[in-house]
Amino acid sequence: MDLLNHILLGAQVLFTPGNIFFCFIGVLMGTLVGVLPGLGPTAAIALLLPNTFHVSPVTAIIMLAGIYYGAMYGGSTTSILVNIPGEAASVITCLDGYQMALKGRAGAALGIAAFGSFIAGTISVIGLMLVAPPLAKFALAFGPPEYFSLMLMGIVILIYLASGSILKALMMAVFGLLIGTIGMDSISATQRLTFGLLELSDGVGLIPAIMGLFGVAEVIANVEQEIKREIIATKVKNLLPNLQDWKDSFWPMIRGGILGFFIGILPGPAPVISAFSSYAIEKKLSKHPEKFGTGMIQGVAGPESANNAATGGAFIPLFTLGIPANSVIAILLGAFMIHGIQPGPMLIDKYPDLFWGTIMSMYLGNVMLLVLNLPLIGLWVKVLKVPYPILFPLILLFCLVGVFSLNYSKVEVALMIGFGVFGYLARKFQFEMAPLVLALVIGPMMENNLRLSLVISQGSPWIFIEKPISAAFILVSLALLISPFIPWIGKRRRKLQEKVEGEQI
Amino acid sequence: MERTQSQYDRVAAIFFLIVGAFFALYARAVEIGTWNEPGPGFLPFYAGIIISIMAFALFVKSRGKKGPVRPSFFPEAGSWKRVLATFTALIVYNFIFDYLGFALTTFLFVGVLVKFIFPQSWAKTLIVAVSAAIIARLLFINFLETQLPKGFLGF
Amino acid sequence: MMLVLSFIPAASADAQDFPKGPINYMNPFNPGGEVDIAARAMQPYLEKNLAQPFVINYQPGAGGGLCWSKLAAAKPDGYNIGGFSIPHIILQPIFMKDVTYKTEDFVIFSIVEYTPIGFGVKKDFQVNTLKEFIEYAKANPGKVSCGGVGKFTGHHFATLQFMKLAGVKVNYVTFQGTSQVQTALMGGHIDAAFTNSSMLVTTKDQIKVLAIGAPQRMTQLKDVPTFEEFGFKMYPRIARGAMGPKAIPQDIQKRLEKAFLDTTSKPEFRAKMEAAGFVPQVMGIEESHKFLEAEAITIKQLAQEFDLKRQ
Repeated sequence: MDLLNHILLGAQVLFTPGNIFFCFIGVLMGTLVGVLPGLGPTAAIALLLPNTFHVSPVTAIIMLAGIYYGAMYGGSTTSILVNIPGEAASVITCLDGYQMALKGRAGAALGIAAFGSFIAGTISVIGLMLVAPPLAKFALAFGPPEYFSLMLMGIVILIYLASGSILKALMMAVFGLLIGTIGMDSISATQRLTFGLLELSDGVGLIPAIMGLFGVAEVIANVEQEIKREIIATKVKNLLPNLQDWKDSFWPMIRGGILGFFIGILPGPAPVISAFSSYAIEKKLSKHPEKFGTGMIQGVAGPESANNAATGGAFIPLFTLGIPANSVIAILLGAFMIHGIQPGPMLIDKYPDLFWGTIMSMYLGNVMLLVLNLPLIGLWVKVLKVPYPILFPLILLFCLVGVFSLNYSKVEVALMIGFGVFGYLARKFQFEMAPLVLALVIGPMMENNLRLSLVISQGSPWIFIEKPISAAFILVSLALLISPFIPWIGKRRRKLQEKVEGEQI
Repeated sequence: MERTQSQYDRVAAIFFLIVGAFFALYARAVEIGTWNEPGPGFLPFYAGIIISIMAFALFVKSRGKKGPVRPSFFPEAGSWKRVLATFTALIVYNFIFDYLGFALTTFLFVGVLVKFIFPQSWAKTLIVAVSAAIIARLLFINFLETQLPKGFLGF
Repeated sequence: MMLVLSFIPAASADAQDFPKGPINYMNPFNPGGEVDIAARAMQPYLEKNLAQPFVINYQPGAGGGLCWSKLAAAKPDGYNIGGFSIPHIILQPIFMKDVTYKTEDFVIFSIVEYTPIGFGVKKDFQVNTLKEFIEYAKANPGKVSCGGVGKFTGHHFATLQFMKLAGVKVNYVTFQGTSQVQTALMGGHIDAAFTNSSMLVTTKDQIKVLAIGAPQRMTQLKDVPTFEEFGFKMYPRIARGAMGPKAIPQDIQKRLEKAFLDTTSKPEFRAKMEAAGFVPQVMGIEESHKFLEAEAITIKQLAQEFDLKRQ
């Protein structure tokens, strides 16, 4: 059948020593870059791009795609081990992944993250193979109103499933929105709250915020307590997930994979949104939602799968419309053009070997990631065994250097420290950080789409309801926001809340 | 000193009330625009108002039930010193590392924190601090070619 | 916010050993846009010519204003250069008060190409010619949404010019980059758009291209009439190339100029650009500045006619 021929074609293209080698290099560099907090895949790709001029386009794409996945996976490692997300998409992994590490189950967490990413990656590759063109059309149906409502719903979902008070989570989200307005407004070029600092024109950076809120704040919170926490003194048994873990994680991984793939089709910060949504869904479906945040493996399996699948999904707009979903893919687009390939709807037909070769390379890349990272898990876990009094300055050091090396800006380092203070206080006052981070990530896009929608509709806010897809999202959001007040749903939530109140976040 | 959750909430509510008011007022200085053509102040204005309303709601709620008792702000006697010291170390690092150079500042930073927060022996401190500085320098400056300052001493 | 791993400020700027390190090229728009396409096409030739990496960084925002404000303040050592669009860099300093650069702050090394601006409508829009569109727009003033990139840019002015000449009123919607306009138009979220010839060439099967702002029909768009054929004497276009802060030493300027000229005069390069819907140019510093001045006069005249307010 046709599909089989395509796969064979792709495999033929892929399994040459040169291509395999480049795939490996890509994955390796990507993981390295992903593990170091602050550095990102764009850096690695920018660095290696010139080397791709001398090789064929297929090879180049294979390597660059490898970097992309590698970085995604590397980011999960630091999230689990030291509660510092490698990038925005890994923030969710910190929530339960780190808790698992504290309980001596870092190996299981890392293992499930690896396998979950692999499985999800496979799902998204299959998805790509089967449904690329019709899905691209679906993505086109999303315009400014739909994007706005989608993002709004994303935030509302997160808030609804907050373990603490909804009101407080909402406030953090709006606060995140407000912080997101700092910088030069992209539509009118007006400086908002930048105090004349050029560094702030781009807005408050996401990395300084994340590193501050999660990294610095966490360390400071730990430093407060005398080390009676023999952190990983409990022998780290089982470097790999056990049977029970597999049983628990199986469905979350599948769900996460499918969810991530579809969300990944939409241009924008898809990995982040998929990870958050997957976490929300898993929590909702779980029999013990109150345990989320204390080390539930589903909280790692789902989001990790989702964000990897989203990575695969992000290739769809590239291959079918020639539109890059984010800056990493954009560089790949540039690579296409350098090699004289015009991306667009005709790409798959005109260059089948490129398309299928890349697809197969994604699969291979995922396999390589797995093989590469599993043995490393033992190594990583050893890192955790370093006594905290010595470990924590090193963690802080990584944060400092990581943030500085982004833009060589001391202002951003100062921002990180500021966020650290805020994060520390927020913990004390029982406010959750995740809504703030999500709002910060998608806030600017939300605002853009809000304003665009209003201009298109000539000032009428009803446009969000007039368009069917957008209306659907708004409806869901409203339902979630109102439900706590409806008696029988509200009671369930209140019970959830009472169980959790009084616990540290 | 013991505090109740609602006391914490009240303080937080006041904080967010101020934040909301600040953004809403600031928004008026940059154009809010109209619903037809939202300006840069549009979102800050409405979001600022929304958060102020929510802060007010939180405040009112906190006057209701007392809420669970929370441990005191600093769980142990010496906590506040450690917290303050660590923050200060971070701030100082940011100030001086382009003057003293990355390697040297790292050495001092790690050394000070290891020695004084959860005191380790001098020997351990020195070993850790020196290796951290060396490894970090090699990793970031030599291997990754990140542009970190070498300081007036030249390394 | 990309990591610029090789952002090297040169200690001394000798033309002989310039460049000693990678060149940092700031792209004022989103990836995949016209500036990006041109930059990527030039990249291999430039890197060969300069024997150093040519690193492209994205600094989108405010229709390019964010990037140009930064570029004007960047170190004038020849390692920080960027792309530009005319008429944007002429109009923004005049009309946008928060933009911190002035047109005179830069030296243009080379104008690399220009794209005439054309007009397209979404596929299922019920008009097939420009005349029909004008009738529809007259019957529904202010209701038709028309997209473009940024305010006080080529697209914005093309829209204003068209509205004046044709006597219609459309609703101008500002996007951040061409690919956004492209998706919005293809998806039917906006009714029409003024956009670059390159985009029209790429998407001509998914939208209806009704007119192009060139003196004659473009070879890449043989079936598309020019505005002039309808009696509208408008030739909106956007010219792009590379520039840097004015204070870059003369000899370094010359070196960069040479690199760009060598690149743009290569036949393969020109062919690639034409195929993608651009009109390639080969201009050095002097010619580019003459071009800039001529466009400035035309544009400022238009601006007077439109009676625009400084924002």
